[in-house]
Formats: sequence, structure tokens, C-alpha cells
Amino acid sequence: MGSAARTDTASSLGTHDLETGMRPSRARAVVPIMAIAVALLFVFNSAGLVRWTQNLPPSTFNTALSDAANVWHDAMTATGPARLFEAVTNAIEVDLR
Amino acid sequence: MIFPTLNFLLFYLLVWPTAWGLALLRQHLLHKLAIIAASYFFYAFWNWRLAFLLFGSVLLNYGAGRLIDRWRGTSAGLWTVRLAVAANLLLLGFFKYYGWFIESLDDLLRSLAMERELPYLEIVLPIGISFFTFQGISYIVDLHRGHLDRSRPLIDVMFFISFFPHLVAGPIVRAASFLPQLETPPNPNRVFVGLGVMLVIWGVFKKAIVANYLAVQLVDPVFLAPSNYGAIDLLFAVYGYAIQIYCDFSAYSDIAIGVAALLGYRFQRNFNQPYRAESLQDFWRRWHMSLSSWLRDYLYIPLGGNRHGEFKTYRNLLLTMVLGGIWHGAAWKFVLWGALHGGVLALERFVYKGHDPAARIGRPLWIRAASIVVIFHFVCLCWVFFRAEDLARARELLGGLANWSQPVELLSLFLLALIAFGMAIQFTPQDTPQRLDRLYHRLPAWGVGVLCGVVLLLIEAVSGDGAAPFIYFQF
Repeated sequence: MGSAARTDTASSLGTHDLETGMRPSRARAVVPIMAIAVALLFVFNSAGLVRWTQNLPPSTFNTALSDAANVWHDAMTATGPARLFEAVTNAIEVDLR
Repeated sequence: MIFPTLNFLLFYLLVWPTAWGLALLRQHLLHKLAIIAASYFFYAFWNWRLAFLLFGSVLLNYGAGRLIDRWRGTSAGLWTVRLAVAANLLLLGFFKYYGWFIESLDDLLRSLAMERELPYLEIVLPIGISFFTFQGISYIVDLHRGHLDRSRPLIDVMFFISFFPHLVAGPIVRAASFLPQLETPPNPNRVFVGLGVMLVIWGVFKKAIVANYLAVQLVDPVFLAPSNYGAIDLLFAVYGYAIQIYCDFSAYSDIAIGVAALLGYRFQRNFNQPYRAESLQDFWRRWHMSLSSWLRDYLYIPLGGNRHGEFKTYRNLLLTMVLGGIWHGAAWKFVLWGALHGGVLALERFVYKGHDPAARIGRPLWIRAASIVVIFHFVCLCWVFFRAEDLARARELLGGLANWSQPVELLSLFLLALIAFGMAIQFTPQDTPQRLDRLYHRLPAWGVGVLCGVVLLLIEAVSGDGAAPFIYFQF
């Protein structure tokens, strides 16, 4: 009875309607997706990483993190991805006027 | 900590493998503790002192739940429910409405020439308090009504109320639908990865591009000084706000549902193309569904719903919507917003004799189209009061809609395109997520990763630096 009541309530609240007709996967499928997406963000948007470290509260660890982010950004600029991303950003910069 | 930021990404990159690692090792208790710890870190990142308030709310509801269980079916049990609900509302009322109450009392006493020294206090509004107190009430009432068969251990109540995806801006998760999910560890072979990834990316896009550009370039300047602009800017700022608040709030819900789905948990859907509603009743079945169903089940129905005649039904509708308005904030503009919605819901009920016109089969297309236009414009009118700094500014904006002589200053083709896009997504086929899920299953995992990375980079390139807080953080 309790479990039936729970099922009824869950259905009437629509907790499952987003998943209707969708196929579940294994949780581990998320790993390559997350790894590749994050790697692309860090490689191409290394400038964002530098900005993030600059906004951290001052501490020895954060200074070391900021230095590492700068080294990473310099490397990405030298090899090209950061410059490519900057060029794309400038090209699609939206002038709203 | 807000969702589309590097802080949150790094946080999630730690939480996700830890949570699944513990679930795979069958350490269910540790899995739950890890997520609770992460949730308190997420909350304390904003203000660590207020994490104690969140814990206090959990303890209150856990303790009340135990007593309700012990005294089930007795008057002591019923009184426990009443006291626990009152305590939750007092907590919410003190933090959210104390200042407003004192200010309004001060104004009243001044107008009566009875000025007094009133106890003004500097109160910080804890982020998400409206959401976690409503979830606490949901636990108490669901337990009392038997929708939950027994009270739950402290760990589960903590998890339910504090779970970080819904903690600060919803969706308002119901105890009866969420707590049963905590009885077994999430199944690593049944994760809706396609849905989760899709919702996260879609949410980031709506927030970072559509909502942010409309806010910064059109809505904020117009609502700050409406008299500086002509009718076209004012009109499109109102349309722009309708799209902005939808893209902002539904984005938060989408990301929350997606982030939870990737951890193996399910939330209630919160939006379903609200601006295609053909009646106001239909609108409230599509907009902030977790709040509207909460108000229906925990306020409108206990008030009597439609069970005591027409007059009391209208009164209950009006009261529910006014209280729903006040839930958004301590200001008269929210009272008016709620009263307008409640009044028209009651009017609709009177005109259509209790039937929802949107549910009628075989209505001519032109009537359906006209209904959508009328309802959308009524909702926009209400948004004016909701968004304006105060009622005077709202009147100023509405008055300015007659000023057609002033040239257009802010509206651009880009903003117009964003508004048009925001409207177009209200009419996409209902099975679009399922189609995208099929596409997800056809692509290799690395392909999905590359696609996600490229889309996120493009969003970053278009949106520029910084992420504005979500609108519903203030509620």
C-alpha cells in the first residue's frame, strides 16, 4: 500500500516524464565526455583559467596555481589553441548597436 | 557558487567520481555522506555561517518527522505537524519578511501620527531559504498524509533538503518523490547520461547567451529608468524580460536536473514551454511546475480547493496566488503580481465554469493562436510589476508605452533575434529531447565530448567574461 502510494505520487508529480522514451546508459559513459569537454576548455580557453586564478584570494597555494595557469596559458598561446580561441572570440564579438 | 562557472566545474569534477566511486564500492552511507558534505561546501561557499541555519532547518524537520511517526493518528501527531509547519514558516518569515513588516508598520504608524521606535534589524537573507523551507514542509506534510510510509533517518533528511543541485534555486523537490530514491544506491547501469548532458549544455546556453544579453543590453537599463526610453524600447524590454526570466530560471532548473541526473537522481520537471499556454491555468501547469504543484497540494487544497462552492474556490485561488507572490519576496509588487494572476485564474474559472479552455479538443486554430497571444501579453503585464524596482517605476513604464515619438535607442536586430528565439523554443516539438537522446546514442562518447567542448567554447566566446547571478537566487 505504502509503495503503491509512493509510485502514484511519483507519477503524478511527473518525476519521470523527462526520461520517457530515453535510453539510460552506464555512468562511466560520462567519463570520456567530461574529460574531453574539460580538456578542450582548458586547452583553448586557457585565458579563462588565468582570469579565474587571478580572482582567487591571495595565498601561497593560489599564487603557485596562478603561476602554473600562466605557464599553461603561455604554452597554449605559443602552440596556437589559445590564439585560435581569441581570434574566434574577436570574430564573433557581438556589437549590439 | 553558481552553476556555469569554473568554480562549479572543478567542484563537480571532484564530487562526481567520489559519489560514483562510493556507490560502485557499495558504500551507500559514505556515498550519501560525501554528497551531503559536498552540498554543505556548496552552500557554505556563499556564507559558511548560514550553513548552520540550513542544518537547523534539517534538524527541525527530522525531529518533527520522528515525533509524527511516534504519535501517528493522535492529536499530538497533528499538533506536531502544525507546529513544525509553523516553525518552518516562522523561519522563512523572520529572514524574509521581518524587515518588510517593520517598514510597513513604521509607515502605517507614521500615517496615523503614532510614530514609535521599532526594532529594525540588519538581516542577511539566506540564499535558497524559500526553497529549503518548502522542502522541509513537504517532508512533514507528506509524512502526515501517508505519502511517505515512515520518517527517514537524519542522513536521508539532510540529503533531501541539502542536495546541492536543487538547494539554492529549486526545482522544489517533493519528499514523496525523492526520498524513496535514497533507499538504494543509484544504479550505475541506468544513468540518463544523454538527458543530463543535454540539459546542462542547453541550460548554460540559455543563461549565458539569451538571458545575460537581454538583461544587460535591454531589460536592466529600461527598467532602471523607464522614462528615458520610448514605447518600442519599453515594449520590447517587457518581451525581453519575459524571455530573460524564462531562459534564466529554466536554465537553472535544466542544469540542476541534468547535474542530478548524471549523479543518478531524478527531479521533477520544472518548465514545459510556458509561453505556448492557451489559458492562465495552462500557463501555471507549465511555469515553475514544482512551485505551482507545491502551492496546489500544500496550500490551495488544504484551504478547501474547489470543494466548498464557487465563492470559496475564487477566494482560495486568489489567496494561493497572493501568497505565491509573497513567496517571491517581501514587496507590494509581488503581492500585486500574485493578485493579478489569482484574479484572472478566478475569472477564467468563472467564465469557463471550472473547465480549462486549453484542454478542450477541436478548438479552431485561430482561437488557440489568439488565446496564446492574449495569455502571453497578460503574463508580460504581470512581469512588469514583478521586475520593476517598485510600483511607481512599473506605472512609469506602462505610461511610457504611449510615447511613440521617441526614437529606438536600445533595441537591435540581435536582441530582437534573441527574443524571437526565446519565443520559437516555446513551440518546438514535444519530442525534441527524445530525438536528441537518440542522436546521443548514435555518437561515440568521444564525439559527444568534442561536441560538448566545442559548444561550451562557442558559448564562452559569445558570452564573454563573468556570469551574472541567477534571478531566482534572490528568492
